Amino acid sequence: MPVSESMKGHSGGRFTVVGVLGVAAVSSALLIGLPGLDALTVALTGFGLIAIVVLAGLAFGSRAAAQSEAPSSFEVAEPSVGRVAGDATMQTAEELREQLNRARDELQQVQHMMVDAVGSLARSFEDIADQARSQAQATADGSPGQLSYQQFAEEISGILRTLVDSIVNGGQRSNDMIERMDTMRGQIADVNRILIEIEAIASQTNLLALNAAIEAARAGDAGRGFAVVADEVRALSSRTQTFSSEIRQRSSEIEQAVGRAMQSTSEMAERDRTLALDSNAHLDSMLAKMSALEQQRSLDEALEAERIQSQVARTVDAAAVAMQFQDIANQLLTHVHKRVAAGQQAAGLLDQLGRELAAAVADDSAESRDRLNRTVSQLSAALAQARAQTQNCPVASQTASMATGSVDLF
Amino acid sequence: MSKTILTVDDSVSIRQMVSFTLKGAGYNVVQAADGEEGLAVAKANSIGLVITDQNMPKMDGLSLVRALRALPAYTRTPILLLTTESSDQMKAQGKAAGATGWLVKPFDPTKLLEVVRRCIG
Repeated sequence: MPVSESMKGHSGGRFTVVGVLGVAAVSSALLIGLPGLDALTVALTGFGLIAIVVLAGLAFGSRAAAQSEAPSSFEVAEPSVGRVAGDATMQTAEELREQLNRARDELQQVQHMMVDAVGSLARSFEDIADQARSQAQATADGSPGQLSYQQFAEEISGILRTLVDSIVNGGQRSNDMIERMDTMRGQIADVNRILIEIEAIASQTNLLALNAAIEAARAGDAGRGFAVVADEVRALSSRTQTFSSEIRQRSSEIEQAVGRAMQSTSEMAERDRTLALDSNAHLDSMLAKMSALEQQRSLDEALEAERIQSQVARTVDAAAVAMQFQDIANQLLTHVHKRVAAGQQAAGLLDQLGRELAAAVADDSAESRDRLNRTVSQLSAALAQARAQTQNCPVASQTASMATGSVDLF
Repeated sequence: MSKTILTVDDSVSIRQMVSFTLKGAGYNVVQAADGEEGLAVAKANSIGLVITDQNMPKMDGLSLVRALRALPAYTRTPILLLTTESSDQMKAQGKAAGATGWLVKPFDPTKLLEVVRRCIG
């Protein structure tokens, strides 16, 4: 404290100085009452008061004095120096008042700016947070892409199944065809049996014709006509034989063709059957793999959605906490306002003190001294009042960060 | 099903953050800028929970708590103080006035929701 530095040995006479005590009261009251947050006020008040104290010390050469012993008299040595000190005090008070006025205006400016800025910031924040929340919700509910993927897999699987089924059906039809061709072969064999019968008839007819010819020759001229008929019958039998063998040959060719067709069809049916079985197995394993992949994917997606959702929630919470800085800072600034007002009041009284100090030093009348004493006690009272008014800051001094506050339930 | 919560604070940003947090959890929220307005809103509506600041113009939070407790409709309604004031002395005054709980600003949205759920489900 500058006030405690005594200025003994100064050329002036010894004074017990009421004014210095008053100044000491001003500076100690204001400086002690100010927490570190109000650096501005500290600087302003400190600057003014230190100047006053030094000037007062120079003017009077004080003793280190306790506040309790309030001396009541002083002697005049150098009125001009006293006047200088008084004037300097007034000037300092004036400057202090001016600085505090500006500080008050600037504080108000900051408060208004903060209200405006944080208002729109909070609105934007709400919009963004709402969007983020609904987006995270949509991801968690499942995207439309996932549905179409599922549909795609189902459709592909359906198409492939139809193809495999049609192959299986084709095989079935081939088997039917083979059966029918087999029946055809049996019918060809029947035709062949009929041919044998026809050939037997032809052979018998030939033999009968031969016998008839012999009998006709034995009958001589009388049987000549009959011999001609017998020859014709033999010729017919021979033609029957020829037709029969031609039919047999065609029938054999048909039988071979049907046999080849049966062979090919059977091979084709076997190939189709194998293909169908392979395809079915392949399709089953493919669908199983796809389904496993899909399950994994939707699991991953669900986890990711959950992660995003909790991250969004955390971020939103953190921003909602930070957004409250305006209210807390505003309450602190309002409190700084009070301190500035106290400083302004003190500056006014200092100004008065300076005037009266100068007057008292000039005339050293009892009247002036009384006035000065009254102002000093007024000053002490005002300072005590200011201190009491600014003592309870609505924001705890340890609140320097935006860590969230405590919760008490009664 | 969702009850109506009244938030009383002279700071717009605090009202916004309280509303945002509670609306996000599905509660109805009405606002008032000071104790007098809060009291009027509480009289005109059926409020399930009140969250009020302490330092406000016209009527402060503790006076609002006392005024609400004097109303038959609000003898048992949960009332939470949400304020920068954190001294034990202030908390004791809050308890004596009939407040249900004391929350020091800034509030953590998750914790606020927990407290609200504990008070009104």
